[in-house]
Amino acid sequence: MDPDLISKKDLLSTAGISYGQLYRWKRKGLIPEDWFVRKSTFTGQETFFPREKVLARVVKIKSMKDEDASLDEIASAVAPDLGEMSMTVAEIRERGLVSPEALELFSENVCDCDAALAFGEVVSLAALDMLLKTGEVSLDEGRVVLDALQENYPAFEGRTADLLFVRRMGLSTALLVSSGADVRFDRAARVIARVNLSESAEALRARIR
Amino acid sequence: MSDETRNDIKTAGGGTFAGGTYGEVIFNGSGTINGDVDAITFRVNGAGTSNGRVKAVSVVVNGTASFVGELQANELTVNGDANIRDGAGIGRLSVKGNLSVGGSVAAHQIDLRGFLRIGGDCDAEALTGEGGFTVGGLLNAGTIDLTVQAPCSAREIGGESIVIRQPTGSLASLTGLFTVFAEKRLTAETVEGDVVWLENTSAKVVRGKNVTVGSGCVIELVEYADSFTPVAGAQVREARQVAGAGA
Repeated sequence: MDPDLISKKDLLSTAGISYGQLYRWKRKGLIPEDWFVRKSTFTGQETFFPREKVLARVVKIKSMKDEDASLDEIASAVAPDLGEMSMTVAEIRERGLVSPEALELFSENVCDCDAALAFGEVVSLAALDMLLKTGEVSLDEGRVVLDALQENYPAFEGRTADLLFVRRMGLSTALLVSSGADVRFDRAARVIARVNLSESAEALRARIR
Repeated sequence: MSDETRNDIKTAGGGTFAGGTYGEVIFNGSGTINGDVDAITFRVNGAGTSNGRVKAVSVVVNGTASFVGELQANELTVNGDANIRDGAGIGRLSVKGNLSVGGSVAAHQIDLRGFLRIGGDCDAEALTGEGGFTVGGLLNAGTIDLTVQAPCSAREIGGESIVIRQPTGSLASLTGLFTVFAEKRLTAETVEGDVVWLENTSAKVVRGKNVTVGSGCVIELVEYADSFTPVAGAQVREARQVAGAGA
């Protein structure tokens, strides 16, 4: 058996938790879906977990519970699982996850720090990369896009937003709207791109994994 | 968009509409909506199809409805037949007819009086009632208290309190609906919970703190931490006590 994995039964007895607790934590997103690894054993299908991650997570949940935090509070503290998805600019550059142009612009204008990127920053980078790849958006315009994202994305907390890039008579602008919302312009305006921010960030996160 | 600017759609015959933000969407005859919909009320009294995602406070299906995208609602009541191709996130789900979901379902409360078919996983704080269900993956609920009126199955069941009952004579009124189907039995690979109380259940493994296995059960292995109570007529091939708060 893979020593990096722990069976469900061993997890429960090692951590001193019950089935009910484990399933409740799973429902609340305290233990991520992809940590539940189903494997065939001689007794049939069994569930295993990445040993170190899950034990550390259980310790964290229990200590927060001792401080009387609600499950929802714990969930927002542990998820989204930033440790899983986040990367530094240097790592993204090294692995070529986005175009060098996008990364250059991003590090110039938003962050060139060594710290892991926050979720909002990942969103910005992913959207910028997508727009630049269309070939319709220049680097200067990319700056405008980043500015619009940094300024306005926080206002959409919890809701999904679309980024629109619009050009009219040689002028361009970027704006954010609620996902799926209808937006209409006069005849001379042209929507160059519409990017669902959550989806583009998810796509980048998937590449990071 | 604020509520004042929401328009309504009401059909008496039939019609096809574009997606958007609405107040009430009511199909009394037949209706189709193409595109994503954000509505306060979405009610299908005849036949309705939504080709897009639907987000609504309240969704009621009295006839037949088909949702090609995801459905999100505070309340979904299915009195007829509803089909959701992708997943669904619902506050209170009430199924009095038939509901089929291709993806996974996350609900707060599920009241089952009919048949629920879920291709993926099902998460709920409480699943209660009587009827039948199939869950392709994991059925994960805080409390399950169900009377099995039709063949039920789930790959895995997990939760805090899991109670599966066989129908009693007084409930025969509803059983007539399902006579065309096979045995009223729940089949699962594993059932795991703190309190597990089962009748008419076939499972490979049942694990729990306090496990009661009643009549009509066929269980290969029971692992319990505190107590195990087999009732006469239950078939349990092997039962063993395991250490730890875990099981």
